[in-house]
Amino acid sequence: MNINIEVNEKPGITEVSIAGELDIYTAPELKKVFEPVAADGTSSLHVDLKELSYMDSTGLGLFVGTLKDLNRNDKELRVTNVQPRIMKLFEITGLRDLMYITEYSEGEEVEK
Amino acid sequence: MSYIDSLTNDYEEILRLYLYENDVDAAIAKCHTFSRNVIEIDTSPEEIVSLHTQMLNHMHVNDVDLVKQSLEILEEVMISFGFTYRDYRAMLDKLDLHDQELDIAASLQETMLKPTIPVADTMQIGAISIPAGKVSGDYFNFIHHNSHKISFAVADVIGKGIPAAIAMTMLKFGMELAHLNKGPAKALETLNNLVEKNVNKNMFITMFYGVYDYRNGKLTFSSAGHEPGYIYRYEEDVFEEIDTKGLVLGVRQDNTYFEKTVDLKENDMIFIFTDGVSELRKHDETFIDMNDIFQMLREMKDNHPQDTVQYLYETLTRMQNNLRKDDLTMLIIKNAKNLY
Repeated sequence: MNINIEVNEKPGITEVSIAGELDIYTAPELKKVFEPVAADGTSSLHVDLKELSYMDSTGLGLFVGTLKDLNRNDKELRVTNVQPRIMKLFEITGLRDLMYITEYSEGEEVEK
Repeated sequence: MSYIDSLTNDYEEILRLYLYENDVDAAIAKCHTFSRNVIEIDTSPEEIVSLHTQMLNHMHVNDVDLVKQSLEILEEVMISFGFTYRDYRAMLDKLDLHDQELDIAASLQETMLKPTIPVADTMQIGAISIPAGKVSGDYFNFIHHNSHKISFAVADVIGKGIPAAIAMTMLKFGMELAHLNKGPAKALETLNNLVEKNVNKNMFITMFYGVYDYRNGKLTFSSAGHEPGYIYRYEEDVFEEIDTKGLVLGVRQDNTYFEKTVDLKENDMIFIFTDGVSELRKHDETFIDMNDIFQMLREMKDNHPQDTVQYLYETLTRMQNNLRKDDLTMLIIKNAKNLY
């Protein structure tokens, strides 16, 4: 049950890659990364989930809170390369329709 | 050389630096590392004092002034022990407080939030909800209306403890207030606005809301981002997914929900559950297959739904990886029209 977070700051965009598992135990660590970006409101957040193998509802809650904060400042949340099992979570909960999100497919990114 | 031996050597080195080379800074710096290491391996303070005495003998330190000086090193190590001890106490106090909070939430769930299962001749109900820990993030509720209808809901609240228990209380009273004639979709819309205003930004609730007429077997339902439910068709021996694809509660004000209606024939069953069931992790870390659950339901199709959910719960708990435990909730409503 581990998470590895990489952050890359660009002008106007914060890029974050998450690997491992995002659950009730690892979510606080990611929150420390997301929260300042969302609260600051000067850059959009682009999150790559290619290496993320598992996410539970606490993880999903963190995305919801971050999305709300970003939207308040007219900033965007982009979630890319989502593994099918995690994509199903975004779909069932209806959250998929609230953000820009793409599913991971062998070697290429597919926009849906 | 064992780790203990190397720590003993470290201590000798610290004393040598301090007593004979007067290199105070180096000695103190090493002293901090040493303290950290001995605390990590659960060394007791008396073991350190005994190590100190041994070292003085071993190094033939007999001069009273040197012995006195050496005690300054011992004091330095003991200070680290003191800090660790205070941290430990503070953590215990925190745990205590946390425990009390969980107790309050758990007793709220035990008393105020416990639903009454409706009883009628033409339907049978089975319901089970077992938390993984002390308190549950799952919630289910029934309301028996006088007009041969029941409202029921299964919900998963993100987060636990008092905030979750408060959210559940809100759901309970929201359901009581939702007007029956307006249907499940309108009920979810009311609940959504209530929840959105009152929960923190990282929290949301998934909910399946149904109204079942036990006189004619008509089910009207709506879902707020909840796991799809199923209807088991007894005669055809098939499972039909029931879902309306709506957004979870608490994310967006004035969200619209949709509803559908289906008819249950004799012995058909409605099966609603939380993701503790569908996302169950097995001992080998793989996820459960819904077909396995369907198979269990088939085996139990002629039993009372309460026995079925009990059987499912016991089987699922055996399959479950204990490190991955989640709250489990299942609800079955069976059209038992012609049993009587």
